[in-house]
Amino acid sequence: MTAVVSSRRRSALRPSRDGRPGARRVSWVPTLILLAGAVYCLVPVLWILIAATKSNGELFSTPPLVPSFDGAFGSNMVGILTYDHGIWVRWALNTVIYAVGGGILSTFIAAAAGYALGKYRFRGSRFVFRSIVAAVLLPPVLLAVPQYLLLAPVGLTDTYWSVLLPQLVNPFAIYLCKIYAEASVADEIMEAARLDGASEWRIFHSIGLRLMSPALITVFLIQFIGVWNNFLLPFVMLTDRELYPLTLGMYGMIMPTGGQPNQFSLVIGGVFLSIVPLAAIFLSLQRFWKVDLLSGGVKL
Amino acid sequence: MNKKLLRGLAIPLAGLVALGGLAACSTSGGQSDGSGVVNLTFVNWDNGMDKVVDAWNTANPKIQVKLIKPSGTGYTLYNKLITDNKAGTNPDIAEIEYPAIPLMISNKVIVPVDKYISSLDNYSQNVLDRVRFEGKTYGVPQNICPLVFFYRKDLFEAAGITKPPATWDEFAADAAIIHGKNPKQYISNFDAASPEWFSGLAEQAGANWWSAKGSTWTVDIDDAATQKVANYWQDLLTKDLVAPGPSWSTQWNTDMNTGNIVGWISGQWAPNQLPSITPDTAGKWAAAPVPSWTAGDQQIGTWGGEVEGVTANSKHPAEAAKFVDWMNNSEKGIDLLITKAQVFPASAKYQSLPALKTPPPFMSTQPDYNALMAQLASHVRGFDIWGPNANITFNAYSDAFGKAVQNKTSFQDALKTVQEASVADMKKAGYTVK
Amino acid sequence: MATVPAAAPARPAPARRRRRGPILPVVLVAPAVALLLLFTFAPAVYAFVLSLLRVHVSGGLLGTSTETVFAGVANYASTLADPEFWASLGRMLLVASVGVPSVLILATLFALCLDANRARLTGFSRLAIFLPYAVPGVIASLLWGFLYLPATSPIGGQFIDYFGNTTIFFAVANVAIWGVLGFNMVVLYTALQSIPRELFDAAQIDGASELQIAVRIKLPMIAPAMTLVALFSVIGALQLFNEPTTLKPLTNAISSTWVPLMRVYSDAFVNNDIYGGAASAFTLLVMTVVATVLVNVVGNRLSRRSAR
Repeated sequence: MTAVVSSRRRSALRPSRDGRPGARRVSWVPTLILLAGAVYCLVPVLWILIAATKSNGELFSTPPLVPSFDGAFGSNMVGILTYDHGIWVRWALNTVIYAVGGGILSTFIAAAAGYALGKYRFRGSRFVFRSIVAAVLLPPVLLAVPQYLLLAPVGLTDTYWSVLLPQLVNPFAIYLCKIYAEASVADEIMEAARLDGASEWRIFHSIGLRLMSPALITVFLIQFIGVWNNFLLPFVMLTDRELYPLTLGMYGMIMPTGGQPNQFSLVIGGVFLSIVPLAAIFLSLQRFWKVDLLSGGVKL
Repeated sequence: MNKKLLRGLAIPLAGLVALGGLAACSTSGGQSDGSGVVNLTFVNWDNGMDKVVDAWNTANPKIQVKLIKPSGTGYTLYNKLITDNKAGTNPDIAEIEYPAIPLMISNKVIVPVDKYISSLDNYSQNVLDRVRFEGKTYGVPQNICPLVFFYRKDLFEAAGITKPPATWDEFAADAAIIHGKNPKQYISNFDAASPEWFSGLAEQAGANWWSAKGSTWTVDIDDAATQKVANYWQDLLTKDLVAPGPSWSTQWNTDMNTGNIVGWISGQWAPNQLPSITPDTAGKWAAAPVPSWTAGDQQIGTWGGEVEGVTANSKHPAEAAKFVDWMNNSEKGIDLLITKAQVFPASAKYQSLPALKTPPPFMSTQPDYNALMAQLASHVRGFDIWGPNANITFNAYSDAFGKAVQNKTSFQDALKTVQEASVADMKKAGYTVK
Repeated sequence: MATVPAAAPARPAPARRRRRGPILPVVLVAPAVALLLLFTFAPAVYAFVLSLLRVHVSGGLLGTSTETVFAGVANYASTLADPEFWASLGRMLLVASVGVPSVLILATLFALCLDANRARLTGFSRLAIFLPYAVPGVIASLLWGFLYLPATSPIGGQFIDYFGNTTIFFAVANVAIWGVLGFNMVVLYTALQSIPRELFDAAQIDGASELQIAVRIKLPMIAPAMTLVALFSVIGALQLFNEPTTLKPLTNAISSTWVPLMRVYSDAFVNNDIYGGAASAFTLLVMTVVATVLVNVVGNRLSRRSAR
């Protein structure tokens, strides 16, 4: 068995070769480097957690990394959840619609396109693929206004669709799906299925999609984060606050203009509330991360 | 891009664009359904406006107004109004600040309201000048926001200063006293990020950035009066007597809370914002007129102040104007504006309403706050006219003065940069500039 | 557009079916193509058309007959003639010169450490380093603002001016690095995981140290993934926008045209000049394509050399 399996875990557990069998020495250098990196990345996140315990006044008058226990945490949570008749909850639901709904839809679109481009050759397939990848280079800032002007005449601005549709195609996602389809869906399996009389469609949805599923989770996560982070598109498209995603809504609350005071402590409470489920999603999906085959297959 | 790609796209795209052009004129914000109810949309960012709108909707079942809070305010909003105007999707009514009115007119975003509104006589000429161009009145002025000096009375007293500075010389002297007593403390900040703060100070000093004769413009942003203002602040900055950071930054917020910044040259609206900027210092602030250049001179500039405009996209301009008129020219409407949205009315007729007898909550220790505002409002002075590209000027101010503060370079040069950018943009657009 | 990254791969599977017939692939690719045409290429072409237009005002003081006229290449000329455009480009490159190598080096370093034998707490560190990727950019800048400014800084903002004329580049780059480091680390780490373990065992028997294995075996094996990371970082740097925009209200050090895309934004969204903004954006796009070609060529050279 040892001859066959040489997994990561196994080689880690194997007795070290310096003559001290069974000694499980800790490699301090990489461990410490990683911990330094973790501190670098976590301190700002930690700041959010601490700041969430502070009132707007305390935010500016108490030391940044010392939490407050004056009950501001509770009032921040209540404050953000009841702000403007509970609109934050509405924004959160919208974000779920945009990020999860848009993420799923675009994952399937990318999977279909990637599979077709990776496993078939047809007229113009190379050209289509190149054009798709080229789209990565177009900055969203450039596209936002023309997108708005093109959607307005058909009455699609200020609707869920105006935020969903332009984000449904992610060139990078299609690129990943194509490469993954090439690597994971073997021609032999497809050929065997054809000999068994399966239709091309059946091969796609019962074999192709299944084999590609690890990549699809990655693509979904990338797309999910992309939509979740996108600020500019909803900013341009939406007027109705009821349709805002969280980023846009909370941005409006901290904007330093107009007659509206900035609501730092409420927004920080809101960020806290939105990061927690996100971290949970990532913790639970972490083991599905399969970028390896994707990036391993990338040749430039 | 690939030539083939371009050619391949040209045809369907041309169709799409043509479609866009055709349909652009067909849609609009307001709709009426079969029941004869007119539905209006109203974009406004003031806190508390929802209650004013609710009151209207209850009293007017036939004209229902829906309030829209914009995602961006100021020029971000005006730019969106211009884009939406092309697409035909603007709301019926929009809140617009005075400096942006010419920009909105030249882009045909708002329409004259003269034929709908008869009560424009309630306004003083000074206010009307801000919305009346070439004989037409574009929108109804809502509020007027004179510049006001807010200061921490307790900290001034701790530094041994018993009354607010009456002149800019006194302001500079007080700045030196405060900073001398505690090197961490500053009397206020120089706000390179708020162009209207600076233009307000220039208005007070007698500057006239834009004027017009016939259809010829004169742009004079680096005139003597503005230079005087710029030099004054550069001097204070060089001596390290004022803080260099922009207002509303986290640094400024902190300094306002800790008492390291003890004053704020702001607008009438500041008491709406201070409760969230520095809640724990309520009752410690006092409001005073902004110092004058010569003792006894009461002339003052403004920062902010809005007009409610009826848009060109509106299908129901008459109904829209009716709502706007009710809001700004009826005791009921004004009373709601004052009590719910803490608006200080633009029309002198309403500046002494009973609702104004109570100060804003944050200024509870200063019962005559609104009387002071009314007094300041009567001495407001503005430029002849705001340029049709005040946005470019404002942007240039933030960039040039921000850079000058950062690099400690000359404010004179910065002013010149602003002047040149403004003139160049007007010429490029096709305006006649002297 | 034969210059984009994936355009040149040597086809690994010549056995692909070439038979004519199945309609399925066309059906499968159709939604993506349709959406791309409608929501990316059509707006891009529209934007290009806009870049050739300008507004002309006539008729009275306030220009009551404003019209859009053909401007030819005037918008491009004024972009190219504007020293501020070149200055903004320079600032962007400065941030990129800090950010791109940092992301590449740190992501590689962390990935190698995660992959190292007997490193501890890797699960925790991996999640911790990845977490910032989930914080929206708008919020990230807000919180870094708190960390930078002297009044609230727990990281020495009292002694270091993070918004000084030099430090500002590091301050902006840092926010960007912080946000994307985790994602790139995961890309590289998973690439490392796919290397057959036998290679390391053999090297260990030959007496190679962990460090030697990392440098001599692992690094060359993940060179393609590193090129991918470098490419994304370069494209990300060219599209630098969110971080400086959200930091802007905090400091005088960032102007409205600090990097090229901020200029595009303020033209298109604040200054009511979508035409000039589009021209600047296309100028930048041409430069992006050129930069991509360069990375592509260099990357090819490198991976060919390391394959030898």
